[in-house]
This record gives sequence, structure tokens and C-alpha cells, in this order.
Amino acid sequence: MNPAFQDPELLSWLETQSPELYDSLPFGVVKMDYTGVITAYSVAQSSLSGIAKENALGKHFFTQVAPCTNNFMVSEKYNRDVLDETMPYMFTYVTKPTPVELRLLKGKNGSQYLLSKNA
Amino acid sequence: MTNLSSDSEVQKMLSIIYQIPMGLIETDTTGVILQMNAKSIQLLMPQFFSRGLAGDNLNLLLEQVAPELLKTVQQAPPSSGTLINQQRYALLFQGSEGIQERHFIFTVNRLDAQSLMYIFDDITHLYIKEKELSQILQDKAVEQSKFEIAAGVLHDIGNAVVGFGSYVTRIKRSVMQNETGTLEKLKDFFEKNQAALGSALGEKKAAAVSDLLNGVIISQQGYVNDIKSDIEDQMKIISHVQEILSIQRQYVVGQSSERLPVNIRNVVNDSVAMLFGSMEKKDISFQLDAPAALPKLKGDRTRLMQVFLNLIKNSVDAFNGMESDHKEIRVLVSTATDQLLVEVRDNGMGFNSETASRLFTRGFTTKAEGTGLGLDNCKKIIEAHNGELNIASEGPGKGAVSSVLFHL
Repeated sequence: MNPAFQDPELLSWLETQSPELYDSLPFGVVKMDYTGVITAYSVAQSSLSGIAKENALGKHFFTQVAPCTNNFMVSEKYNRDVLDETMPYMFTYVTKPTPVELRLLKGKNGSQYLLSKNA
Repeated sequence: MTNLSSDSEVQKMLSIIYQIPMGLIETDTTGVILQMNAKSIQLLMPQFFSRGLAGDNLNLLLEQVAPELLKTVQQAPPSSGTLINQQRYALLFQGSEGIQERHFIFTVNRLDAQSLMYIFDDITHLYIKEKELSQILQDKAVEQSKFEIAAGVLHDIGNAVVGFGSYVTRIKRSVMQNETGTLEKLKDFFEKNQAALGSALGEKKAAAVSDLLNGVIISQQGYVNDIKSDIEDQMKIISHVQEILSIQRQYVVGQSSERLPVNIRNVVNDSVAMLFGSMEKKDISFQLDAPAALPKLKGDRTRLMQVFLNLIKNSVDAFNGMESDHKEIRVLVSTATDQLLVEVRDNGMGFNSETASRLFTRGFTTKAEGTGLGLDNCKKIIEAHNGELNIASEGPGKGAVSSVLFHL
């Protein structure tokens, strides 16, 4: 049973499942280590951003893959110890603006997630 | 799903545009965003959302943060290409610490009848640096003008003290002339005519008048002596003040060792002003002959002043222990093509060939109190100004000429 975008237990689900299972979710999932380097990039995320999984893995999310999020509204919030916030935002499919809804998640173990779906 | 590997060249170009560290936005004529890159989202999305805007129409944001820019764009004729070229705008932006003023630079191009391209960047950090730099420049200018004021004040006080000194000297002279001689003569007259006066006034009265005169003379002499010693004290104070001023002046002027245009006439005049007291004391007349228009010499004013002060002081000292009723120092300035010659001539005691050969030897002096900068230093300073320093005398008792030749 897959969790919903707003599921309060989503963080613990993500923490316990293997990244391959993220592809079955209807919304995009980016998993980063505590420095912001991408360790998982789901299929749904690729379809929102236009960036293929293999071009994203191992890169720094906020500066190399999605510099559009590198501001006080998104990336700076990951400086907090724990984070769970939902907000409207704008992605681009390459350069076409795509309104999205973001959920910023960060657990105590340092892994951080950015979830996104079409608004 | 789109095939992400197709059109790889276009994809690559788009990803470069996406990553350009500068905001790029394409809108239609109503402001609807057709394309935008990462940096533009990074810079503008917080502004859209903090104002409750969806982020799909740029004009709605510009109306609030940069109405002038929007007006310029909307009023531009439909044909023009560049509507705004690298214009700076101060925008009030929502930041992590509340509303802040941010400085943006905008270029707006009309791509075709339907679309506009906005190119922009946040240059707040540059703006702040610029402000800091101009503040530094301003502070420096204030500092510089303080030095100029200080130098000017020192110069003015120095001149006033020189004037005061010569005034006191005149008082001294007139006091010296105001001898008690007249009273002495009157007393002599009384003494010679004691008998006649005695018969006219009576012995006792005549003696009393004579005593009275004596008393007046003594008290007058005491009075004159008091004034003389007061004046001596005043003169000492004045030369002390002058000394302090000259030290201060060198310090203030010495703040800049840059090579600036120097007016050699002023340098000579200042040097003479500082030596005025000793010239006056020795009754030396001074004359400066310089053409009205002098070529500007580039140099270090303080150091040149030290040299001329030294040369003129040497001439003043050349009259030490000399009895002459015509003591004269003349400074002659003349010019030739690419040359400026300054000669300091005195009719003082001069020197012999033995002294001449050792003039520029370090530590050599003919003076009792070894003094000053030293002629070897003067020579070095003049040579550093692309010049030559020579000092010559036709022999003892025949005066001396110090000549400084600058190659311009």
C-alpha cells in the first residue's frame, strides 16, 4: 500500500523502503544525503523536471540539478534539524514553467527528501 | 513520457541556458511566462509566493516591485529590439530576514511581436561593495582635506609668527635707540650750571632737581633694561614656536611622498620664511630673482624643501663671525630648454679647495654644532629628482654659489 503525498508517515516509509520502490509513487521523490548530494531520483521526478535519473544521481541537488530551489524558500530550510513543510513552487520542464507542490522532509538521521507533484 | 535522449544537442543547449547563473525569462506581451531558467526561479519565486501570486505572470510581480521598469517596457514602440539595457533597479524584496532592498540589473529585449526576453541578476553584493568603495574614497578625501587644512593653518600661523617676530625685532631696535642720552645731557647741563642754578633756585632746590634727574635716569635705564630682557624672552619664544611649526609642517606635508608638480618659487619662499629670523638677526638682505612663469617640476615637495632650506641655511651660516655692512643672499632661478637652474649665491666667507673636495663626504662639517640634513643627503635627493647639485667658491672671503640644475 503506497502512502499519499500528504501522509504524515511518509518520512518513515521512505526511510525503510528501497529507492526502486520510489518509482511506484505517483509523485516525484528526490533523496539526498545530509550534504545535498542526490542518492535517489524517481521516475515521476524526471517527468516533472526533464532531467533523467542518470544525470541527477551523485550530483548536488540545490546547486547542480535544481538551482531554482537554491534560495531561502527551499534550500535554506534544510539547515533545520527536522523539517516537514508543504508549499507551492515552480519547476521547469527544461525551461517550461510547471507549477508544483513541494513537500520538504528531513529526518533526524540526516537524510533529506524533496517531494513534488503537479499543482 | 518524453524521450529525454532525443534532440540531444538542443537538450544540451537548453540545460546550459537552464543553468546560466543569471535570470532569463521569456514572456508574452501580457507577462505570461513562456520559459524561464533556474536562476530566475531561484530569484523570483519567493517574491511571487510571498505576495500571493501564482508565479505564472511576470507583469503582476513587476507591477509591485518595479513599476517603472514595467512602464518602460509597455510604452516601448513595438519595433524596438532592446527596450532596457543593463538598467539598475532597487527592489523591495522579501528575504529570509524580512523585507530588504535588493539591487537588480535588468536587460529587456523584444524577441518578436509576441514575446519579450528578460535578463536580470541580483547585484546587491556588488552594489554594497561599490558603496563601501565610494565611502572609502570619500573618507580618504576627507582625511586628505584635513591634512590640507592642517598644512594651510600651519603655513598661515608660520607666516603670522614670522611677521610677529619682525615686529618684535623692530620694537627692540626702537627701544635700543630710545637711549637715556637726552636725560643725561639735561643732567650734564644742570651739573655744569650748578652755580647759576643754585643762585637762581637756591642751593638745596638745585641739588634736589639734580637728584631728581638722576633718579629719573636710573629708573628709565632700569625700565629700558626690563623691556630689553622681555623682548629677548619674546624672541626666544617666537623662535621656539617657529621650530615647532616647522617640525609640524614637515610632518603634515610628509604625509604624501607622491611626485606632484612643485613650484620652486614657493619652495624657496617657504625656506626663506623659516630662516627669516636668523637672516634678520644677522642683517642679511635676501633677494629672489625668478621669471614669472616657471616650468612645474615634478617631485617631492618636502624633500626639495629640506634641500633648499639646507642650502640657504648654509649661506646664512657663511656670515657667522663676519663683519660686513653688505651681507646678501640671492636666489636666481633661470630656465633653458628642458632645464631649470636654481642658484643660491652669498657673499659670505666662502671656502677653500680642501673644503670643496670634502663637501659631499658623509659626516663632514665645518660647523661647531654638527647639523642638518648633510650635503650628501641633499645631493642624493636632487639626483633622485633627475638633477645635479654643485657648490663652488672662488676661495675664502669670496662667497659661495650652490647650484641645482634640474633636467625636466
